[in-house]
Amino acid sequence: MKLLAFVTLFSICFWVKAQELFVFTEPASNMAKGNLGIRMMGSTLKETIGVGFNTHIMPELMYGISKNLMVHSTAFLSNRNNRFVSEGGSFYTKYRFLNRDEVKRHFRMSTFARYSFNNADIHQEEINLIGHNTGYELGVNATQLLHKFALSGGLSFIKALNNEPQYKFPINQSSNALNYTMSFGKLMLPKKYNSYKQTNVNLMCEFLGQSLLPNGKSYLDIAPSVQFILFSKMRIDLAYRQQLYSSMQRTAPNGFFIRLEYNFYNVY
Amino acid sequence: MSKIIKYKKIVLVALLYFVFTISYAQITKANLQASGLTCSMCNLTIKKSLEKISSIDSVIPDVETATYELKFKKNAVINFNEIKNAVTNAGFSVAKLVFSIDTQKVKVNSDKKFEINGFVYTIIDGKMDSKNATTEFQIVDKTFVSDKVFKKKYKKKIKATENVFHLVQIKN
Repeated sequence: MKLLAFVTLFSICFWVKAQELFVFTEPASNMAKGNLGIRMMGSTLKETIGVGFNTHIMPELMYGISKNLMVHSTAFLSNRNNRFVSEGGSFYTKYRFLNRDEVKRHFRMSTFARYSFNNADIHQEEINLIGHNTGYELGVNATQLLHKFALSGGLSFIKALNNEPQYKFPINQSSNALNYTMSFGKLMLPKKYNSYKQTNVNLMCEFLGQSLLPNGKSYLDIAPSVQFILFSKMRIDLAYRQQLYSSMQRTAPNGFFIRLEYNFYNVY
Repeated sequence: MSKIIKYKKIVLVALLYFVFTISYAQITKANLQASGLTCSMCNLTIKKSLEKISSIDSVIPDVETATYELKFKKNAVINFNEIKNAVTNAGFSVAKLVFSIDTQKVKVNSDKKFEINGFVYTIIDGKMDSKNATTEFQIVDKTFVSDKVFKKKYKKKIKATENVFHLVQIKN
């Protein structure tokens, strides 16, 4: 049954490839110099231990420093311990070092770094710098755009640290990991552009994996999503993330995500 | 007597203004195609970046083909490097940049070079078309065409050290 579900989801993903403004991963492309983006991500994830759901809210600011360098800062809020509290934040930077543009296509590569801090208890083997662990991540990604279709892949090294001030990283768990991602996307609508006011509909599918080092425990998730771009300025992403397999302990891998994004042009 | 001097000054100022107006209106319009994008969000990013340039009066986009018709302000000094940088700062590249020159207002010298507002242009293919009111040229320097096109068609014809714009006439 699980195999059937996997094959079905995998097939759907390859049928509904969307463009490169992915929900769970960043493409190798950057924001424009001087542009500012604001995001609000919300997720509701089902707890694997016990019953119930937990909700995370993540406001995020993004800014293009130059044509090749951009930065993000994110705050993490969660009600995992019954009421909404601020658990930490994250700083992310991405540098595009390769750019091959042709009409309606590109190949780009970038390198990125993230530092996250979090004060929550460490309750799973999975290392997650988006709202769970303190630590850093260094990685590289590559994105290919081919007219209405985009393909992007990423590989990164993650190091988890203590969740200061209260929670030490458990000595019996791996604090190092490799993250690997593969994202597909396709612009479904409009079939032909004639205005900035046309709503864009993108369908996307992402595969998100992690292997702990050196114990080799791993997981792989699939995350299909639909994205609406309104007035060429605002994004609404609706996504569902589902664990395909896991040999590590994870407390809430499956759930729904919604993200809103608005872009301001030429802020500085 | 002083009245005559005053009138002479006014006439002189008016004449100078007229001369400068003529010399600054040599480039009449331009058309730019950007590369590296498909979606309308990226397209709008480029439009907004182009609109920041002080010499540009209006940008009329074609979202489907990622092309932009650029209209310039009267008397503006047009710097095509600034236009290209607006596209690259938006995160994309220039695939094609074509502009129109008022044929009567530009004098091309014997080595096929001419100057407008301190910028030197050299025609590497074609000529100023004196039979028509305007002549269209494409800038074919590296970063004004795609890498593939530059390597294939223009790299051998252009001396990298020369600080000029290299042009190819567009024949209609």
